[in-house]
Amino acid sequence: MTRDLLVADFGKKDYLETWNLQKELVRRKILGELSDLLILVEHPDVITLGRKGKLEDVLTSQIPVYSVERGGEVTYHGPGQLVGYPIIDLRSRSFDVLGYLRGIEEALILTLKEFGLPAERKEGHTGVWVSDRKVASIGVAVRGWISFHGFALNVNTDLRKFQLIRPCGLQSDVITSMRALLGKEVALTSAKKKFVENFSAVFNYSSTIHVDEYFVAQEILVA
Amino acid sequence: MARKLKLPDIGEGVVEGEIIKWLVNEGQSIAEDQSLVEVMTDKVNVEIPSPTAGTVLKILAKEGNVIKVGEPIVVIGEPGEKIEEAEAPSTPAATPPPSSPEPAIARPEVVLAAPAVRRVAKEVGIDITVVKGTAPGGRITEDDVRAFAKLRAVPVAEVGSERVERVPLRGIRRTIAERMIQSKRSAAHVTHVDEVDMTALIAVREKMKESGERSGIKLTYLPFVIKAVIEGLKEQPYLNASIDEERGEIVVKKYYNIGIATSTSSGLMVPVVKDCDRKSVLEIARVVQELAEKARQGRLELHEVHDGTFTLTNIGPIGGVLSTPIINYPEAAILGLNKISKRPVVRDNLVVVRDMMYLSLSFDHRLVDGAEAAEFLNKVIRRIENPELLHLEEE
Repeated sequence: MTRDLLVADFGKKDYLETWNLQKELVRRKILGELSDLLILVEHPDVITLGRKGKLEDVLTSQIPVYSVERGGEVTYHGPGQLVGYPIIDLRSRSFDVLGYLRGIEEALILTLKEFGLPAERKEGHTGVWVSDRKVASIGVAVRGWISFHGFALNVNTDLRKFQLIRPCGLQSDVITSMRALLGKEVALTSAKKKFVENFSAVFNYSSTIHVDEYFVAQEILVA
Repeated sequence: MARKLKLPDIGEGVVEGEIIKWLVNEGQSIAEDQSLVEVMTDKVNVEIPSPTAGTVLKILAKEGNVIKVGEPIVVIGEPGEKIEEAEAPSTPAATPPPSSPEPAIARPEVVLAAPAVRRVAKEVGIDITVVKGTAPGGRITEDDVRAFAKLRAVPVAEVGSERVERVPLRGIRRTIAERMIQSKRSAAHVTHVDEVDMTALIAVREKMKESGERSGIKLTYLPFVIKAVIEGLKEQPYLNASIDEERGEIVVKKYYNIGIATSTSSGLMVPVVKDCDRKSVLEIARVVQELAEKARQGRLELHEVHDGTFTLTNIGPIGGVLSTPIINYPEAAILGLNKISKRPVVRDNLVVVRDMMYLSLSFDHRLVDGAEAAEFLNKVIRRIENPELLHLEEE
């Protein structure tokens, strides 16, 4: 069976706008009118609380905070970070929700390895780790067996921003980035490109089709 | 017909999830596939859709509760349908004393109560569905809730007898109760008993004890027995299997994760030592020690009690001649280690004193026949009695 993955690179986009868009896409997808879609985006500074997130873990009032329906605790998104929201129908797949988490981890691990980083899982601590430091976080929601929300990979993220929160109940200095690990800036576009390839391979898509924001907007308008 | 919706299996290996948020209220009518509740497991928050259209009659799992897969979370049915008493699990202490005349358990199909009244009920810890409303249309007023609370506040002992104490069946105790009965109901239990001469193993353990202590490990007999069991399992793979009833298949596992029955203040827990075949005796000892400690402190993580393939229960140090353990379902067998005691036995026609122990192997006769079980135990015994066969020199 052929399976297409639509990839929509939003570039820089506001969190709230993207969140609303996700929910709209999920609604459309539950009706079965949309292919699987991977949104890639870079947000301006924002803090989000997953369902287990506590406001006490937010240590600033300078940047916006959203409480959202994903799993997990508190996290930070900002410039230099690759954020991905796969909107995928889990019913048509042989894996379950935990298998889905492991799949996202796998795609991230393979991507990091291509940059020469020995990325791995840490049992009991979902996310992707390089030598006991967390380089990517995962927090997912499932509605009508359609996934949304997703992952955040620190490519060139300003790690000082994590001091503004207690990420996932961990110490802020546990968080690292590809830049910190490699000692040099990594082009976000090349991280995106490699991630899409790995994601597509891990989840067994026969082809990836790049679409733009306009296409996604059209999809929603048609509904 | 009212149907109880159970927490669906949302992933392989997922045994429980936390009820994060109810998206529907009791009395609300719902469509098929409408999201009912958010349940979180690991880093995924899943909205569980309703398998059917109907009315939410009763929410059984409260927000913040951790619910096991298979436990009922909500009752859905037709409006006005009566929920059978048996359908509602443990109504802890909310049932008024029998002497009270009026607010009996009249469960209205839809609970009519203002949000403020519901809040009061919640504050005083009362399940509003068991309160009878006195206002027109059966609407529950704040006074109804308060009156009911007063009645309920009468200590059970004053009403009933002091000769019993009623403790709600909850948490780990409840899980144990369910798992045990599931095992007894599903597996065809047989217990095979034999004895083993521990004398040689005791000597070996004495010798290795010190090197364990140097690395802070208290070396017991258990890791040696685990090693012997692994060798037995390798030769009799069906003892390390389980039945996938849905697919009608026997699942033979090529890995050896040994559960260790551990008693804790809140009840029996079975932490699992993973991949024992790839660990040395000292490594096993270290992991067993860590897991037992975590179990006693109630800090075991989900993955540490998962995916066992065979279980050991060491009842010996407490006492008893022999036990007939219940299989840790869906595993195929469990080995009970009983008390080690000095007994006269015959060796080369002479009566000698040896350190003897009874081993009781309970197995699922659906998977394993008696001869196979006996052969397995023979192999385990042979290795315990001849510890040199355990290849301990690699330590």
